[in-house]
Amino acid sequence: MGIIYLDNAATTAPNMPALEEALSYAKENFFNPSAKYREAQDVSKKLNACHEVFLKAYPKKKVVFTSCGTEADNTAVFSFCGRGNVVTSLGEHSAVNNAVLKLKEKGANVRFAKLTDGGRVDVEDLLKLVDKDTSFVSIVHVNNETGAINDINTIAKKVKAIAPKCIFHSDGVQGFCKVSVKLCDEIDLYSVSAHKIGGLKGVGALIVNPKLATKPYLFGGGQENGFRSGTENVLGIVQFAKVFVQRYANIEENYQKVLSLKQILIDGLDKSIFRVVSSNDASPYIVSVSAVGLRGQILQNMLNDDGILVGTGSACSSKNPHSRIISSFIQDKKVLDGMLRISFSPETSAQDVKNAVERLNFNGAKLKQVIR
Amino acid sequence: MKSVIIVRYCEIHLKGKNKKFFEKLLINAIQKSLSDIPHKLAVMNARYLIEDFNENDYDTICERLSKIFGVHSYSPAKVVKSDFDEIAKCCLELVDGKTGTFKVNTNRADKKFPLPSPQMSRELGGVLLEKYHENIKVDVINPSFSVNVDIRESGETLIYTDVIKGFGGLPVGSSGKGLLLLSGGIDSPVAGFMLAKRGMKLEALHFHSYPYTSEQALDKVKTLAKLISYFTGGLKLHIVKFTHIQEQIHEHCPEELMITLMRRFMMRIAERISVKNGCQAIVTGESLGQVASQTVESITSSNSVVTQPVFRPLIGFDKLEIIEISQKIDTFETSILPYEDCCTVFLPKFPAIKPKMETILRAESALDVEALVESALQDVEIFEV
Repeated sequence: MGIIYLDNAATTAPNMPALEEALSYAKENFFNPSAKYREAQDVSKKLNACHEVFLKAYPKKKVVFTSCGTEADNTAVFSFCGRGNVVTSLGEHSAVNNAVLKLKEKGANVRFAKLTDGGRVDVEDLLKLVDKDTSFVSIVHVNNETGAINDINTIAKKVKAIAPKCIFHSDGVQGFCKVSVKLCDEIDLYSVSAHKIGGLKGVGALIVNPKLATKPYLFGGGQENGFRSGTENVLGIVQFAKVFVQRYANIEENYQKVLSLKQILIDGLDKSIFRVVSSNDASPYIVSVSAVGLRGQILQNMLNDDGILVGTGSACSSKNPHSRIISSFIQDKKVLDGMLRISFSPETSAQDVKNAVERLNFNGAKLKQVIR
Repeated sequence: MKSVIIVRYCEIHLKGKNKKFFEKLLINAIQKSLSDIPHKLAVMNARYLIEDFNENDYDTICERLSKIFGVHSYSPAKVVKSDFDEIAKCCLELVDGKTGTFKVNTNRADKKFPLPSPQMSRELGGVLLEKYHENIKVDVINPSFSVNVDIRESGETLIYTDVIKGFGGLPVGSSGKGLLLLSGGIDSPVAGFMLAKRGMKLEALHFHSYPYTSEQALDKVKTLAKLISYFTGGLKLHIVKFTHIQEQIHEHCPEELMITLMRRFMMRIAERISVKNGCQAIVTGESLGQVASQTVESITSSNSVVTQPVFRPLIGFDKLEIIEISQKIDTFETSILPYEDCCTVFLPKFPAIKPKMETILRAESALDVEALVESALQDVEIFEV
């Protein structure tokens, strides 16, 4: 039996046709786009064309390519946090969470909004934390553990109504090309990553409100119009642009397809063993379920032996055994112990999900018998 | 002037006619440990001299020496021609930057050298004071450092100030071979270290409970084996799949006896592997009363299924004392990596603390002990570092 890969929120298989088309930029067109001879300038033009591809989808923004989603998040936090307070949520990816904690360590006033069931940001609580001195707000678009979708357009507008001068950032890594959103003017910064949609690891981007001042996080040769120095990952960016075009055009269609996968999973799971933690209106790409009272890590090992790869909320550890995000809105230790994260891609087949459900139920029942 | 390292050994002095055997093991251990570093090893009376090495390797050599049992101490030293001016010049160089009280010890093996030892020490002391009198003072009773001058019969003189202590002990291999039960926690690597220090060569045994414990937990045990191997000169790790036995106990025996019965199976399997591999003892990291399986009753129960001696070097140690040693031998950071060991999943809520032998035997009679032990021995993975 082949492998059934259901950890697409961690990374996806790279889109091979796009990679093959882009491969010439690792072979004959290897030139440094900053060089001035014709060959290198051709590479530079190709990069410009890649920017254009993104600008078609985000006409009122500009795009800065980075080395990953984490770099995009860190650029947002460290370049745009001002003197006033910083507001974020308990549901942020570590790339934002640990960055703002670093600011806090240096003395910044950082405030965390609570999450509601399913991991969505409690908007009422968030707006209470924002005031006219707020300089920076960061709210994740789609929660990376539960798939909970935050309505970032509405949130950004409400935040700016209170703090018109603050910078609004959203980590869009799990929402990008998966959950349809037309970024409004109030969203200043939006982080994305290539390898979650069939791109290569080592490429990300920060989608930026062009009215913002250029505030680089990396200094050097002034690439990306001075916003992000460092020789561009041309191969990765070219492949990313090609994948992006396809995925952006098919967001709705893919969403419906993946939604049906989520439904197969939820309908098929043995409810005497599993509890679905993700809510119905969450992104269908990520489904968090708990094998209540069992250990997610053991189940993950058992599924691994069956050729089924799924994620756990976090590693089974004695020091910090539970997910930071999920434990902020679920206190039941039995639910937290059993967390598994199942995440799809549009390439996932319905049959694969059916097979996985069967093994989930089988192994869950087996484990339940062992652990009294 | 060239750099050398003086290596001194301990206890081997005490070993009358066996001295040659111990010396040979120690020399072998040093040579094996330094096999990838170009150097020469010269044997002197009651000590060795490492010479002709590249200065860049100095730190690595010291690091490796510090982990060889039987090494009492070592000193970085300089060798010069046995000539007063040269010796004085070298002493000045070694003392440069030092502060506190000092004395000069001279040992004149070469009786042709013109100055007798006490006079030589006085003269050199005078030279040093003349230059560094602002920083150093003489104290022959309790000096903060000594300048040692060893005038050899070869016409060369060894000079050193620092004496760095090794772990002491006996060269590994001088006290037979044991099988260490290596769990992945803090205690067992320390237990292994303690017996290796007394000259015991070791192999190790780990019980793996996949899928109840992760592959990472096994990787961690392999890392620990690697860290222990620096002291033992290599280590063979036997990995036994323990899951089936755990499931059987779980299914057929009372919950509170889970750990007690597991320990008995572990000891049985350990002894078979020990005998098969020429080991003469089983080594565990048990410490009296630390957990339910380490009460005197529990230890009696697990001990009673084997005839080989079971060495428990940590039996009288507090947890904090064990942690202190594990930090000293660099295993602590790995031991506390957060992966579960095989016991935690099947951990009963209320384990039997003082299990009665007849209760244990009755519970165990529900299992085909011999068949379970045999089947576990059929599939042993070996990992050698």
